[in-house]
This record gives sequence, structure tokens and C-alpha cells, in this order.
Amino acid sequence: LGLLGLGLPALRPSARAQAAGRPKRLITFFTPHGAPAEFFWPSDPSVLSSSHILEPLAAFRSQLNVIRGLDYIGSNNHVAIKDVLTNQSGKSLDNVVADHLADQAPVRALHLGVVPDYSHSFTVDGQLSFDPSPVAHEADPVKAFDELFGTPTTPGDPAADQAAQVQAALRQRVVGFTRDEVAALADRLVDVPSEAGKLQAHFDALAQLGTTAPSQPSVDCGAVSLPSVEGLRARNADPWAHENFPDLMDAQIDIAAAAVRCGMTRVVSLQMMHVNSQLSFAFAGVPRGHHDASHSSPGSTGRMDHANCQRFMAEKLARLLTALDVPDPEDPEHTVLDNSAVLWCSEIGDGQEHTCIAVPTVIAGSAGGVFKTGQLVQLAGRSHSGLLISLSNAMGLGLSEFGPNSTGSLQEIEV
Amino acid sequence: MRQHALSLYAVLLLALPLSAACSGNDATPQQPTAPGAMGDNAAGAGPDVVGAGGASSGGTAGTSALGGGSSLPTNQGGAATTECATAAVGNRTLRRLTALELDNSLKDIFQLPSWAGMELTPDEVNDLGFGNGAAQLVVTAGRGREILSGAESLVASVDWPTLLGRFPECAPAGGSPACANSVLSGLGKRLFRRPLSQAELDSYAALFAELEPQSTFLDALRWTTVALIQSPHTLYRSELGIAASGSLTTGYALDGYEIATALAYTYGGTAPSDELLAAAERGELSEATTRVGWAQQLQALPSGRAQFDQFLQGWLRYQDVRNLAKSATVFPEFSAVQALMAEETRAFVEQIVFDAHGTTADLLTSPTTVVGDALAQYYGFPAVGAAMVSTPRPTGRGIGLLAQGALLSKLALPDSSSPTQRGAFVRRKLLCQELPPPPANVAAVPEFRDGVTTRQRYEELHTADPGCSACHQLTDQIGFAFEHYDGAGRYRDMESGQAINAQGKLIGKDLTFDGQEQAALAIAQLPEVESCAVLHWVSFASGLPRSPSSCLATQLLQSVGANAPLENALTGYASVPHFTQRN
Repeated sequence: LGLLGLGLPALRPSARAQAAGRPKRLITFFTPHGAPAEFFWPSDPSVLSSSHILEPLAAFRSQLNVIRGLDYIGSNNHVAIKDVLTNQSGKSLDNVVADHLADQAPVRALHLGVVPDYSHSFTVDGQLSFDPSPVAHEADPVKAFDELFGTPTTPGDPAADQAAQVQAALRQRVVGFTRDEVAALADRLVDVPSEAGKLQAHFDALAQLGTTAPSQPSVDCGAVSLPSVEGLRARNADPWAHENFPDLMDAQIDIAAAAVRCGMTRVVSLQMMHVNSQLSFAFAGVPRGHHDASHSSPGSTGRMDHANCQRFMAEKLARLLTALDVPDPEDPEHTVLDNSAVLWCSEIGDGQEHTCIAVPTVIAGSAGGVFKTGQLVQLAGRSHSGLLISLSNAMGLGLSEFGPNSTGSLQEIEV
Repeated sequence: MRQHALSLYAVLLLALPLSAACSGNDATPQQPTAPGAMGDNAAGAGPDVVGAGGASSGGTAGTSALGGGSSLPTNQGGAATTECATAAVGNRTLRRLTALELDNSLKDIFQLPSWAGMELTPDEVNDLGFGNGAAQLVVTAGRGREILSGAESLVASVDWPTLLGRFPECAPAGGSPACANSVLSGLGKRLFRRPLSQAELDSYAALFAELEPQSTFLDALRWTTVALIQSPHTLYRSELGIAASGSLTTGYALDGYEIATALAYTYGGTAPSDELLAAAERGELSEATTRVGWAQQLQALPSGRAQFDQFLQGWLRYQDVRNLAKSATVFPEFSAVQALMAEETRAFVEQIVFDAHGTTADLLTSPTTVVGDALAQYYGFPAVGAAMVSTPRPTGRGIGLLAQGALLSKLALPDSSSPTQRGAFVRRKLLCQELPPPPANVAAVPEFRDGVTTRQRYEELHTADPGCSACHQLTDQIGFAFEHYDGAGRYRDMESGQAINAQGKLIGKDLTFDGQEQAALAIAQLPEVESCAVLHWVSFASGLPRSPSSCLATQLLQSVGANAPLENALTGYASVPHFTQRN
């Protein structure tokens, strides 16, 4: 394992072997615009509730790493959204890990967004995940839910099982037919490299479609019912409407937790808003748009407004952690949360300055015993490549670098 | 054009380090910029500026460097100053249908107008903000999965007995290979927008014959239809052409079916009709005048108007007004009219362009708008009746596009106007200039204080602090002219107990103006306004980014002539060489 390769003496063989065997999950939880420093970092490092923003996470204090001093070197301002999970490497953490864990779950990775861009758009302001082309986050929880849980198989009904198998075989054949068509068209375009490249990507995409289904472990999530999703469905809520933000957030979080709990996926990227978003946080008592609030100077009322916005985000993160804090069906001795790494991240540090210095970073869960927890880590300015390396390796990879300025993993959080 | 754009950028970048303490509070949605330029910016305003301090105290950083602030850009680049050495013809390409184009096509072809559609995830926008860029429209694994499941949902919605009834070969009930083949051939021609080759017909017949024994006649037909729908020949508009012959000595000429396809999607957003395909088959579309005639005909249909609106939405993003969240205490009446404002702008532009045959300048200076009583009351206009109609604005209450409530509200903050966003809109969307994104290490616009106007607050931070003015005078000085319109698009004479000062200027063009109407009249006279509108149209129509669209736009503008009705450029695009040729 990569952890060995990095020569971490603290990891005892028994703990390592045990950690390696546990089912791992990675969840990233992105919120834009950083946080006002004086309201984010606990004033008393031993008391989480001394942070106005982090207080809602107090119940999970023993399972957190609050990491101060990570910089996105060479990145700046909101456009750094593209660097948060890539560190300028071109491919983001979620997809790197998803590739590695691809054979462990039917759904390689789940990308769920909450008003993740301007209405019905996909601009640079909403591009967080790269594979290496930008991966859009699904904005509609109802659609995401239906795709994941909407067609429950009825185990025990042989006729239905057989019919489903026939349909799956037909689908498989049709995808293969299309793949051949794409390949034949690409053959005619060898002298037009850009278009041949498009078709190659199309071909690869169909290959994923065509091969994943049969070779993947099938998962029985049972009859999943999420009131937060059904509430949106019942009122036909617009997933791009700002006023639906809190409900959309609840629904996407609940879907992510349900999919992770039942083994539907190992990797989830949750993207709350997009950078430069002026989403109104009136529901959190903030009478202005989010980006507007983030620009407030220390001491101004806007500063507290931004803190209240981010505290709202922490409350929602607590909802996610609560939903994961249940015995792991695949490893009942531990909770799903303990077997996970849930990364709360942003694109800038202090919202007011818009630089990528000391970006607010929180990890919940020990990634199956790999991370120390219950600590506030103070770093004297360090590239966040170490964070991405540690998270990758906690999921079983053996990386020694993740983009430029890599100086090894973040040993301060590793057991 | 490329050189010109880069040199403009270099000039703007010179100003950047000066503005280390400048506010980005007003950041408009950033459009993608040239990667090189973005990198330069990151380097120029990197983390080291934090050490310079000053931001948290309101921003006096970088005062020592301010001497350079006088070297402001004076020659702003528009789209017209393009030098295109060779004939403006693009490269061979495949253009994946957009989500909307795919849905429209399938609804038409399968006669399922109320089908929910595939609901594809939005695609990445190009550098001019359009979601139909050919380079961005690819089939990722996620999109491939959506298309497959969408195709399955569609074939499950089709009333197959009725559909089969359209084919004489299917008259004897029960289904036969001849029936299946005629259905596949017929659907295939509409989906591929050309007759299938014999090899393709054989291939689909073989697929059907392979699937039928594993299921039923109908099931096999459904799945073979899924294969047709997700075929690359359906998903991609072919603009590949055939190698030069005859009058062309180099390059490729699009065939009649490819031209029919381009006409149908550019001017109708959907697949070509049987009639248009028949015209292609007869070879009629090689004539430019015939193509323009089709373009006019298609654009006049409801689907053509809807397609034009897609262009408007990408260019102006006026529909953003529907989702704006304004302060309920400052603008309590806004939420009741925001959807109406979107409709107002759509109808206004359509009225100027198609009913009044207006020019781009008319778009900016028309004394009319389109309102019904609800909006009229909101704006303080006289009653006009419940239905939305084109009507003159009251004297002194603005002119043209830049007086539209949808834009004035969108280019604003939740509780106030935004001179920065309004000025940036003029430069980016009307003059096609590229502005750098806001720098890091920014300070906030001072908060509301009694007795202080928005203009004063902006001047306090941006203008009074020369570190900010380097960038912000380019935008704010234009935006100040719109200060008679509050953050929700309503006219005002006073703010915070003071008379509005709406004097503004367009730096680099030596234009000064007092108020929205003078500003609109002055801006409308700039040749860049027309070339910029045409550039946006060409980018939308061609699926190409700013470069090389600018060369195609120059050529189009030359062919239709300056100050021509905008609709001439819209349909005239069907006559430019790029419409039928490729390199």
C-alpha cells in the first residue's frame, strides 16, 4: 500500500491491515466563498463550540480534523474552484478515487449539486470536478434519486428477474452496436484530430456504459424513501430556484447518505452553490446574497452575515454526518462515518480577501482508521496537495504527489 | 483579431496589480477567458499581495505603484477591427445536439409534443457564454447514460400501433421483417437527417433480426430504435462535407443534407422537416438565395422564434431575472414581476428585430417596450390593459434594451444597483471587450449609510482610491449613467435624500453622457455594437468560439452592410461561405 511507501512509522501493521480491509468512502462537501476567519477557527482550540461556524458540528468533535494553514499555491480568487480538488493536476480527487474504487460499487461516483451554477448553466463558476473534462453536478434531486433508486428490482420474483435480465442483455447489445458505429465514424476522421478525439471520448463513455453493469456487484438498497426528495417531487420544485436552496440541500444530502450507506457508491461530490453565487440567505436570517456577504470587512455587520451563512452550511454538514453515523452494513463494528472521509472545502480562504490562503478545511471520519481525529491541526502554510494525497491514500491509492508543490502527504492527520 | 484581443488584454493586465485592494464585491458572472490570460492574472495578483496588507483596513495597498495608473487602455477592441487573412471558413466538425435540440427533434420525429424530454444535464458554455459550443458538446459517460435512458423512456412512450400504421409494409398485423425495415428506414432518415446508406440499412436490419428471437417483434423494434436514437449519426450534426471538386479547388463542401440540417437547427432548433430534406435531395440548397429564403421561413415559425430566444438567452442572459433573490425589505414588490420582466425583454427584442425590422442601434434606442398592466404599474407607466403589448415609454423613462427591467435588475445587487455590473455588461456584451476578472485581496463596497447614494459609496471605494480606479473606472463610469434605475429596475429621481447624479463616460471612446438615454444613444453609435451583436449571433449559429467567429462575423457584416436590419444578418448567415464550406 501507498501508506507503507510513504514510510509512516506510526501506522502499526495490525492497524494498517485492519484499515486496508475496511470499506472506504470519500465524500467531498464544497461550499464557496471561504469563511470569515474570526468566526471559523475555534478561539479555544480545545473547544469546537468556540467557533461560531463550527458549533453545529460539536457533537462530532471527536471525529473531526479541523485543518488550519492549507494554501492553494498558485491559485487565486474564485477561479480556484477548479483547483480545490485537482491542485492544478487536471483530474480531481473524486474522480481519481472513483477510478480506484470503481469495482466496489455499481455507481462509480455521484456528483450532486445544489444550484451548482447559474440557472440551467455549466460555466467555469460551477466547475469543481474534472475527469479531466469538467463533470457537471446533477442539480435535480428528484432526477438523481430516480436514477439511483427509482427502479427497484423485486428480488424473489423469478419472472421479473428474468425479464430484467433479458432487457439488460438487449441494452448491452445495443450499446455495443452504437460503440461500433462510433468507432467506424472515428475511422473516417483520422485527418480531423479534434473530431476524432470527440468520438474517442464518446467511445470510451459507451465502453463504461457497456461494461459496468454486468461486472459490478449488484446492491440491494431496499425500498428507499426520502421525505426530503418526495417533498420536492410533490410540489414540482424548480431545482434552479434559489428559494428552494435549503430543501434542495437536504434532499441531495439525504440521497448521498442513502447511496453511501447501502453501498450504491463509494464516492460522492456534493457541490453547494457555485462561486460568485449571489444566492439569498434570507432563510438563515441574512438579508443579502452570499457572495455579497462574503466581501464584508471585519467588524461590519456583513461579516456576521457571512458567518451565519457558513454556519448554516455547517448545520447541513451535520445532517450528512448524522445520516452516516450508523453501523456500516459492510462492517458493523464501525460506523459508515468512521469508514469515510468527508471533506468540507472551499475555493478561497477568508471570503473578504479572496485569496487561497488558510482555506477553511474540515475532514470528518477516520477513513476506516487511517486518520487521527478530534484535533485542530495548525500548519504554518502548506500546499493542499498533501491533503489530496492523504485522502487518496486513505482510499487505497499510493500517491506521492498530487499536482505541483507536492511535499508528501499530510502526516499530521495520519495515524 | 487574436492579436488585437491579446494586446488589449495586455493593456488591461497592466492595470491589474494596481488594484490589489480593489473590490470584487461586484463580480459579474465570469465568462471563461483565455487560459493564458487567466494564468497571467493569477500570477500578477498572487498570494504575495496579502503581505501588502491594506485590504482589511479598507484598502490603501499599492499606493506607491499608482503612477502607472495613467496608462489606461484607450483603444478598446471591438469585433469589427478584425483582420482575416484567408476566406473565413471554419474546420470540419461534428456538433453534438444540445439537450434542447435533441428533445425538440425527438418530439417532432416521434410526434410526441408532450414527452418530458431527456432532461440532460446542462453542457459547458463556450467563451461567449453559449451552451451550444461545438467543442464543449461531447458525450461523457454521464451524458451517454442520460441519452440511453432518455431513449428508452421515449420508445416506451411511443404509441407503436399508430406509428406502425404510417407504414404500408406494416399493414398486416403481427409484424414482419419488411415492416421493421421500413420503420427503421423511415425513422432513420428523419433521425440521421439523410437517407441511410444501404450498408447502414443492412446493419440495422441485422441488429433487429438478432434481437427479435430474444424478445418480441415490438421489443426488438424498440431497442433497435434506441440504437438509432443514440447513434452518432443522430447525436452529431455532421459538418464534415465532401472533398473539394468542381468549383472548389480546396477544402470540403457540405452536402445538401448537411446544409438542410444546418438550416433546420440554426433557424428552428430542431430536425429538418420532410420538405426541407426533399429540397436537399433536389439539390436546391446550394443556392444562397434559396437558403436565405428557408432561413426566413423557418425563423418565422414559433420554433424559429424560440430558437432566436435561445440565442438571446445566451447572449444577454436576461432570463436570469427569473431567479434573482432581492432583499424583500428594499424591493418588496420585485418578486411579483420578475417573470414578467423576462417576458418583457423577450417580447421587446422580438418586436424590434422581427416586427419593426430594426437595427442593432434600434435595439438600444427604441422608445418602446412591451408591458401589460402589472408591469406598467410597477414601473409607474400608464395603464395599457392586461395583455402585454408594445407601447411607448413615458418621456424621460429610458430607451431601448439598456432600460429593460430584466437587465437593470440582473445587473444589480440584492439591495441596490451595481454601476460595476452595468458597465461591465456594456463592455462585454455590447462592445465585445474582454475584461479581467476581479483581483484577489479585495475590499467591500461601504455599506448603506443614510444620506449617501450608491454612486457615492462606489466612488468612495473605487474612484476615490486610485488603486481601484484603474479597473473600475472602465466599468463604473458607464454604470453611473444608469443610476436613475434602482436595483430592481425602477426609475428614481432621488436616493438617500439626494438628487441622482447620472453623469457617466465611456473611457477609451471619449464619450460622456448624462443619464440612461444619452448613454444608450452614444453607445448605439459605436460600430462595435453592431459587430458585437453579429459576433454573438455567428458564434451561436456556428457553434464556434470568439475566434474564429469574429472573422465569420466580419465577413457577414460586410455582406449585409452596416446599419442593416439585424434580421438581415441573422438570415444572411445562411449565405456566407462557411455555411456550406469547410477547410
